[in-house]
Amino acid sequence: MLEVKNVKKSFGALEVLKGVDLTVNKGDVVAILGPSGSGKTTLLRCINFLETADQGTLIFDGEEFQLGRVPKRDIARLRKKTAFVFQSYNLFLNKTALQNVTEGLIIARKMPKAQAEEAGRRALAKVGLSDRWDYYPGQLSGGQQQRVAIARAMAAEPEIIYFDEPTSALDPELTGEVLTVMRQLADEGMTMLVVTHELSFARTVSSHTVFMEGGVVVESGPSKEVFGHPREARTRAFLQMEEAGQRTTRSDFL
Amino acid sequence: MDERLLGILADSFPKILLPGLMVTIPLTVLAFSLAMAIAVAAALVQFARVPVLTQLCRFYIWVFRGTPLLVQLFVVFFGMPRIGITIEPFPAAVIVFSLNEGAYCAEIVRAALESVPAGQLEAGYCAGMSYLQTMRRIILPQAMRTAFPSLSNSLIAMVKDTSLASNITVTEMFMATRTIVAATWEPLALYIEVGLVYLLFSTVLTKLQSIGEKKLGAYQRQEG
Ligand SMILES: Nc1ncnc2c1ncn2[C@@H]1O[C@H](COP(=O)(O)OP(=O)(O)O)[C@@H](O)[C@H]1O
Ligand SMILES: [Mg+2]
Repeated sequence: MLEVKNVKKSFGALEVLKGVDLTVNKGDVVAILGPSGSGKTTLLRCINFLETADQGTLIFDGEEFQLGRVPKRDIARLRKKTAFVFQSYNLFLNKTALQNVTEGLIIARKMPKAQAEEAGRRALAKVGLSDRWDYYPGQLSGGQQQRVAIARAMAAEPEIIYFDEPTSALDPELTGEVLTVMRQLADEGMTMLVVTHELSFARTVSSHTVFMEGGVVVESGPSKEVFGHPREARTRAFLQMEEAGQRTTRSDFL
Repeated sequence: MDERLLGILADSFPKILLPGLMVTIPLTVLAFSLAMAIAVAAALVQFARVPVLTQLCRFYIWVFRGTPLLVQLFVVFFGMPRIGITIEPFPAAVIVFSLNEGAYCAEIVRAALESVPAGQLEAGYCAGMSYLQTMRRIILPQAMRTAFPSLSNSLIAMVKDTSLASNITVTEMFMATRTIVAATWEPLALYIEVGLVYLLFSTVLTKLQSIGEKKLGAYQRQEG
């Protein structure tokens, strides 16, 4: 349902993506792992046109686009089929939790207000925030804000949700509530592309794992294989390092 | 204080307050409303970096912030008739005050727009909204909240600056006071009296400002 081929992106002289390929099938949960600075965020941003890639092909629902020269109209149309969850939540600061969820439905998708509010309340209930519907982002904890952001993403009934390190800005004790919501979403069959540092989430929830380093995909495959029998030495080294780090710093939520 | 002076002060009070209500306030309200429209438009054009229009806005702001208000009033009221454009005193004052105030406020609004985190616009895009939809519903409201205290200060400054319009024969409060002074020769008492009326106006506006800030600030309240 989503395929990108040979995505390249430079910032000035710095080549951040050096030809990345990626496939996500309907219902897949694909985790992207990799050290900081390897281009994971840039890849997601290029796929959703927040950055303009220098080169590359995007195939979405069988429609092919040349990244870098996709017409505005198509960008707008594709964005309505996708949703994005940011590392720093990016909730609309002047809107309540419910308004954050309904805004895109009413304004972009022209859904009648009553219908949008019903969908909004359902989405907030799913992330366990029914009682906070009239709170502004500034009145919510980081974990709650990220759950509102996930509710905003799923209320639009997108074909795929992109997550960029959704728990990295959170205090360790708040990551669990966000990961639980994401796991539930995966169980419901939502297609997800998730950049994450949470190895246990990648191992147990994602169907596929992609390991990126230095702007290229080093290894990718079913999560069982990537975690169980990593083919590349660099993947093994990364997994060992991360696991050692996470055992001591984070409690396993699962 | 002698009885004659008290009589003059009592007599003159309605003669000062009336032009205040009939000229100073309408001039302020009209000019400030126009200034807001100019400021928001000029700020949005610059924020979106619209070619040509951005340069025009920079030029306009440069000229109106770089020259005295009094000079601008004189150019429009006394100067323009030379090239066949004669404007009545009140409309001339409205034009000059709104252009002058618009230039200052455009800078305030532009800075406020730029202070809105970039993630807000991106979140709007990812929610399927267009640039204009996100600007109108998300970015501009947040920017106006940020700009509100500075804009209020500009408004309060402007109420007082309208006294300069007396120089182009607009019969606002200060002009009215000067006329009474000329007839009674009580400058100290009368100028203090008109000063107190300006103080009253400013105080009312300051009160409105703090009420407005409370209302607008709802979403910035932190819990706990
Ligand atoms: N807008 C930008 N301008 C310049 N350099 C950038 C920009 N965005 C990212 N980079 C650089 O690109 C590299 C990859 O960044 P990023 O995609 O954020 O990596 P990751 O998400 O894997 O940590 C980093 O070296 C970063 O400094
Ligand atoms: Mg990143």
